[in-house]
Amino acid sequence: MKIKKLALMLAALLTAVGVYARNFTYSGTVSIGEALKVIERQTGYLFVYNPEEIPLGENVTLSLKDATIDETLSAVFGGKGVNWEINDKNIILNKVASPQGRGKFRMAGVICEADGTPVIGAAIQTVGKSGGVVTDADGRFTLDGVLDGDVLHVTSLGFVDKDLKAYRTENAKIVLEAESQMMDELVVIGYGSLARKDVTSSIVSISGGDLVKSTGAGDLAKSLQGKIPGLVIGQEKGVNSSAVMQLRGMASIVAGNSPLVVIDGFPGGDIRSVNPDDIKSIDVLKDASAGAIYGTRAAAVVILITTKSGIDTDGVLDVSYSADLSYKQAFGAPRMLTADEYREHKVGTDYGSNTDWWNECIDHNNFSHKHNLAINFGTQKAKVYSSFFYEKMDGLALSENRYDFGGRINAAYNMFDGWFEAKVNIDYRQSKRSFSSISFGQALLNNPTRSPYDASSTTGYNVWTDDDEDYNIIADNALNESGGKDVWFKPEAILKLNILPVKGLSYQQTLGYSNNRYDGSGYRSMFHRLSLKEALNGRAYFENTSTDMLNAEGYFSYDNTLGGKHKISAVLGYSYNQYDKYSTSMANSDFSVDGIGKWDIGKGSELNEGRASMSSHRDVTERLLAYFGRVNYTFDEKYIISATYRREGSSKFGAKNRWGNFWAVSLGWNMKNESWLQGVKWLDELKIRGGYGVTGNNSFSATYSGKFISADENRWIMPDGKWLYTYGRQENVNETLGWETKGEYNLGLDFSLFNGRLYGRLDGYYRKIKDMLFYVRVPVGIYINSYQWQNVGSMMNRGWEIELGGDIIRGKDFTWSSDLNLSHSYSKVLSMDNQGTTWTGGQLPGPNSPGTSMVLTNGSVIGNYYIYEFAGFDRKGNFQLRKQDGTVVTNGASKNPDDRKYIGSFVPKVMIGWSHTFKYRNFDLGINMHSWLGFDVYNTYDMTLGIAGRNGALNVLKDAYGRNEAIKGEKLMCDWYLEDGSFLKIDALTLGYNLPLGKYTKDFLKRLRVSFTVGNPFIITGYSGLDPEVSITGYSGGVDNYLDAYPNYRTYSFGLQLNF
Amino acid sequence: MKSNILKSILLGGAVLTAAVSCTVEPTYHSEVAPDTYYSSREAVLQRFYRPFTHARWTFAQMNGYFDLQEFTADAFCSPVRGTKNTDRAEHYKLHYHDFIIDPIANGWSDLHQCYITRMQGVSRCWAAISDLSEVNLKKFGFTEADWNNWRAQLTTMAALYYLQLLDLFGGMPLYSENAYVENYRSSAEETFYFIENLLTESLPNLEKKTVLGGTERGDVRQAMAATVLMQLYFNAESYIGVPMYDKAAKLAEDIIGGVYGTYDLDSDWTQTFGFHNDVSKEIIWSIPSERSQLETDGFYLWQYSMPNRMRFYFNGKDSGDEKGLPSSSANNCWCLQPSLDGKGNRYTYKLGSPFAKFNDKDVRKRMYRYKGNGEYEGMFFFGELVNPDYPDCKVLGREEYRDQVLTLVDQIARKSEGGTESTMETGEENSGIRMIKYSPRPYLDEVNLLFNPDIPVLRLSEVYYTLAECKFRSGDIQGCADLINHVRKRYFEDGVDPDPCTASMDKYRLLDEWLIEFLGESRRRTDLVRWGEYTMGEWWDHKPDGAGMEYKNIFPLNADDVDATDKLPQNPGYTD
Repeated sequence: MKIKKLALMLAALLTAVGVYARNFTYSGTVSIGEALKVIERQTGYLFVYNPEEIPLGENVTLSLKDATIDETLSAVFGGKGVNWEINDKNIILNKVASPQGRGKFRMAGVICEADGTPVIGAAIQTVGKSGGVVTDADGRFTLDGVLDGDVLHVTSLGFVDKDLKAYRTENAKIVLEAESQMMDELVVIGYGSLARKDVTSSIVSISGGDLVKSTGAGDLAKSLQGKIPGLVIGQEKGVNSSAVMQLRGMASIVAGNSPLVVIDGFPGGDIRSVNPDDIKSIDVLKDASAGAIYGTRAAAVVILITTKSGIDTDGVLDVSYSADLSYKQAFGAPRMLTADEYREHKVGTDYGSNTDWWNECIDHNNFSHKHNLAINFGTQKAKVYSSFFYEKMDGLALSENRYDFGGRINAAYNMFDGWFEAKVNIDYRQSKRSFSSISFGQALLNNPTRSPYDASSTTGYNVWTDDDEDYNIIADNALNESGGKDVWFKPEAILKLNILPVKGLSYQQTLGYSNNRYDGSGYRSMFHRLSLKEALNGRAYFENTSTDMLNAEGYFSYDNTLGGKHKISAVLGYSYNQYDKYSTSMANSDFSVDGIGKWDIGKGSELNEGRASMSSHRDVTERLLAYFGRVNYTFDEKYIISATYRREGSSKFGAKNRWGNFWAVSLGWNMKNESWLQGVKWLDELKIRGGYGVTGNNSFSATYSGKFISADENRWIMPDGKWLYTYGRQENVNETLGWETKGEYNLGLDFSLFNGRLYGRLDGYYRKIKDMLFYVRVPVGIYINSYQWQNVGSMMNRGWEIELGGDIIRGKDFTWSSDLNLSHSYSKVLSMDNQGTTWTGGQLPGPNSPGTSMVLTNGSVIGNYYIYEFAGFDRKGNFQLRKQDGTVVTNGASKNPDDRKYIGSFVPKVMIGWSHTFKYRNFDLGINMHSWLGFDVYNTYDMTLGIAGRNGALNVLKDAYGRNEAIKGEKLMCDWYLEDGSFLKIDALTLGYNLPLGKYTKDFLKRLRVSFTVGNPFIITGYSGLDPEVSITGYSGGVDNYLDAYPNYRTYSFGLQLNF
Repeated sequence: MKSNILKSILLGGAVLTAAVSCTVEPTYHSEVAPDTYYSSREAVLQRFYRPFTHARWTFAQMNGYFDLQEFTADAFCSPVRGTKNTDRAEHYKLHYHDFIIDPIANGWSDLHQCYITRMQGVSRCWAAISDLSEVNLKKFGFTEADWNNWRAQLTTMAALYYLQLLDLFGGMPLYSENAYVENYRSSAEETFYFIENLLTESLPNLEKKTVLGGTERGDVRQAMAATVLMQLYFNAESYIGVPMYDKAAKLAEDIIGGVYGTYDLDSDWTQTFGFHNDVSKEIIWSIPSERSQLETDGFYLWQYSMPNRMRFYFNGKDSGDEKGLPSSSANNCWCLQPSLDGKGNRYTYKLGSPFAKFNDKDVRKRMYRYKGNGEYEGMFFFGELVNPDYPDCKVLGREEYRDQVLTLVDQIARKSEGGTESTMETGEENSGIRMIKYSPRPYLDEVNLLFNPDIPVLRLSEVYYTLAECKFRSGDIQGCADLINHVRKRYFEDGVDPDPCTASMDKYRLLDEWLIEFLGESRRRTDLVRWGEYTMGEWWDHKPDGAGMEYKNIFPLNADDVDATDKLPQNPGYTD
């Protein structure tokens, strides 16, 4: 009791010096009597009541931040049978009529925006019960038969959902915050969260509801497409691939470029493990001043994923179910010669059939569906969110599919009168995958007069073994089975001690474990082409890898506003992370019984011959330890300063250089809060922010940190005649290897105009990466290997990002809101090292290896192709090239690789993401688009498949005998094949209909939503190859490689969502 | 309540302290630290033999050395074949002595590969000595003599690496044991005497082979050190301008005389290269190869040179199109340079025409036939690719001669189009004779013998030929002819040589003898350089570099290797 008094006094003291504020902030457990006093002090209201009627001695636990007086009172008196009326300066408290305080009553009032504008059509529902109502044209509602203690859930499109306790009143005023209003939105940052208005760095937040869904993508990454300016998401081809992400250009050349994913505070997560339906929000820390708190691993980008947590449903179950059914339709196949055309042009042997190999490879009966069940249950002290999902996904290629199961329990408990909070999160997911061995690139090459089937053969397939360039991919796929199962398991406990005597102070300890296990296996039939060719009756393999991560973090946080003007948010803590990876594998061949497949692997005769393989490996255990701190300070809602520091050590580095320092400072100025701007009514917010931060990168192999001995891949014969593996040094250990660091400047502007109708953010950045972790050529002789990891070289990225959003139409029945983002980036290698090390990439596909189209060296601009300059065709149709010295040569001995030039670039000048939401009564329509403008694509379809007579009997494009007829010579890697790749794609077009059903179904079904989505309906582009959206991450992208071909497809999805 | 808080704070503090005491040391599992590695006698030996598995890559598997030594000379080529093998990259340009020293890395080029593998080899030898010097060998029952022998073996191996580098590139940065500091490039002279020193120092500590035809396991013995030293002296004139043929001859005589161990010529060449060559009498040093253990395929000669469907030829009695010998895919690029021009006439150049230089009665000049149990005959594939014993086993074409039986011709011309021009540009799929010398293959029914042949690196015939040339140079032509004829007679039935060397032989006959005895053994360039023919000679589609182009006798260093250190300047003539 004493402690509580102390807390109260402290709180009172702290707030007493504050300015007159009508809003209320308080966390902790107090008696009602004391709470009233605090409310009086903070808000300036005076309570009028009869002490006998009000349970002043009862304790209440409050957790309020900037709460309105209505919210405050409903928090204090919810379920206490107390009614209130507010007039000018007084609040009159009355005991409600019913003696139990649980009688049904009516609650009526108005729902409005912050400025008083009524919100029309907002839905109000009692959580766990049926019978919601909708506000009328004046924003008014009347809810009959509510009970004291009921929780109301208020929703309206374009506004943040709100939960509040019901209370007896005829003139409630419920204020909804516009979703677009960024200022008060809570942004998750490293080790805590901040109001958007206090953020000084570049952070993009996306709520779970804004993710692009139903596009048939394999994982979450695709759902972010077009949502985050500057973020490039690689194409996912097929349901088992995972997307590559890159933000603001390349962050490193040789070390890793992949983002750090933090799931519910656990760094190092796997984005594939998360069920998108479980996501509450995704926050992307784009610049180093935001990411520096994650030090080491934050160089590329930090993606913070927050999963849904339980809400207080007052003990009632809140159940929702959704289903998504979808079909993929292929379109836009390259136009190869048909069998008849192939015969007509006498390209190769005529086997007499007519086969469209591309079409044969497509699974036209694909069907995918997903079912998701989420159950919320909560009381004041315990809140549980649990979910379960099942998903089946079919790819477009034959035998490509995936089955997923998953479940999550996020439980939060409140103990010891608010002193202690415990959260237990358990996440499980498994993906059972079946891989296709279909190669669409090969389908293009195959002779169309040959049939994949042969009814007279044992297998029904026409298997031929005498041609390695033209083989039956349909039979290869059917006679080869391969698949695997990914399992993610992540239990985590978060314990939080609220040190109540000091307002806003708490200590949080997290202990988490995550495991990703992959089990793969496969069997190649004895009738498979390769089995026949290698004279082996079948081949079976099993492989598995298991990755363990242990994470322990503890930190103090302090959030408070002192003296009304000094808002402080600070953390101080440590983080420990351990990473282990284990793998085993085995393979055996030559089985006598094909039908058993892989399930008796010991019976293959290669085992007896000593040719079967078996392996196990445990990677070097990696450890990371860090101490960190952060302070955000806001003065008078105008001036913000934020600083972070992290000192981190990694076991990956040389013993002398394990520890690194990462820090950031950023400043913000909320100009709108200056008195001289108060008068500008149309301006809601104007903030300038800027910062500098240093982040690190340790994404490279852990085997370089010490001298050790390991086995060579080969055996040698010992003096006693035994064959044993030889052992020796493996790496060029660099004892001084240290951190790669990235320094980044970020300058930004946030604004919101016309009452939130138009808002946006502008960001400009410059980042320089130095002491790059680089695999450098070193003199062999003293070194065992010709490369060593060193800290050399530097590179830079610069660019800008613009985000604009607005509610273009905000009518009574019709609304239209739109978000647009644009970004541009430029990356350049400043120096690789002083030894002129170079890296090549962009290998162009054969036949006849045309070469590599990229080279990286000192001064290289990322994205430039390094290819020959085309100088027309000669009379014989041979390619001519213009050398560096201007002379023109044709194919032959006289061109050298250094006659190549830097031509074109695969980095788009501008990347655009644009989304629209239209709403008419219960209908809504969403359009998500993305576009890349001003970049080049190297078209290998035209190059490899487009010249008649150069690929033997392999099939060619129809263009080879049309548009390209005059070309006779061997293809050469040159800019003739560069094309402008600018495109616009619609990621998803969703039409939805919401039906409140409470009225009709009594206590059962509350709401139903049906939606229909078309994903990627068409591509607008002038590019003539298959898909202009080529890989543009890393330095070796830009090649539309026909060997990686996967059909373009559109998705048709039907979605159903039920809320019980 | 209070105690709760205290407990919580204490707990938090304890956790923090625990965290502080966590280290950021890595823990090794599959890799072992040196102090836990040496646990048995075997482990010590396994450490000792690590440079040997590297030597296997360098001397018997990687094709870079073959490319540089053969494609620049007059026996092998990699022509454009219609729409195949069209990249005209390094393999193509070597023919014209047009060396790519592109400052932009061009993948794993031959120049780079040869430099790196050999310098790595040196490093591996010294590293093994350095590591083992810290081990208490007595504990594992090894003696001082063992240790001295090991050091001598590795030192000799390092000397061979350096010798090949000197031959290819000239002077090198010289590293001895415990080399931890980067070194400047030494002159060719310094490198020469450094190698000489390594060999003469290590030779006495090496073991001498005492059993004629005793099993070779790849261990370095005295005769190897002596032969490498002989090679060094033999080419001293090329390397440092000082003729040392006398020294080479002395060593050769001693090796033949058994001073460095007991060796003799094999009476049948297939004993030297065949399936049971671990007991060859002739081999001085070889890289062991064994099915399922260390499968060494001899410079990937099969893969790069055989026609695509060659493996069907090897079905033997298991005939049937769909099978084919495993691990035997091939991509039909390399072949012998042609002896006949596009019209079918013999080339008249002194050099080149390798297939025609073999006497028609030479047992090697037969179609490859596998007889079973590791016995075989013939070193070539030529003419119609139909297995004479199993006519169903035939090799079909797939380009110009698609689905017809492929007939390999000793010509490189677009015969399918009636073309008669013969250049590196005019190949087709059946152009050029193919050699199967290293790692001969069994037929499918004896697939378990696949990869059993060891890869000979040094053999006694070379010592004979070296001695012969030394005699030739000293004016003892008959002595030269006798030595060569002594080797030659095994290639003819009943030892009757229809065309022996005589006292009237000229240097071109001598070069021809080198060509046919050591065809494809990666030494042709060195021999041509020694005779001044490398830059001045003419053969098939190759024009002489001409006078003043002698700088081409050594290769440029690959740009990447030069760039790796400023202590490795480029060779003269190549600076760009």
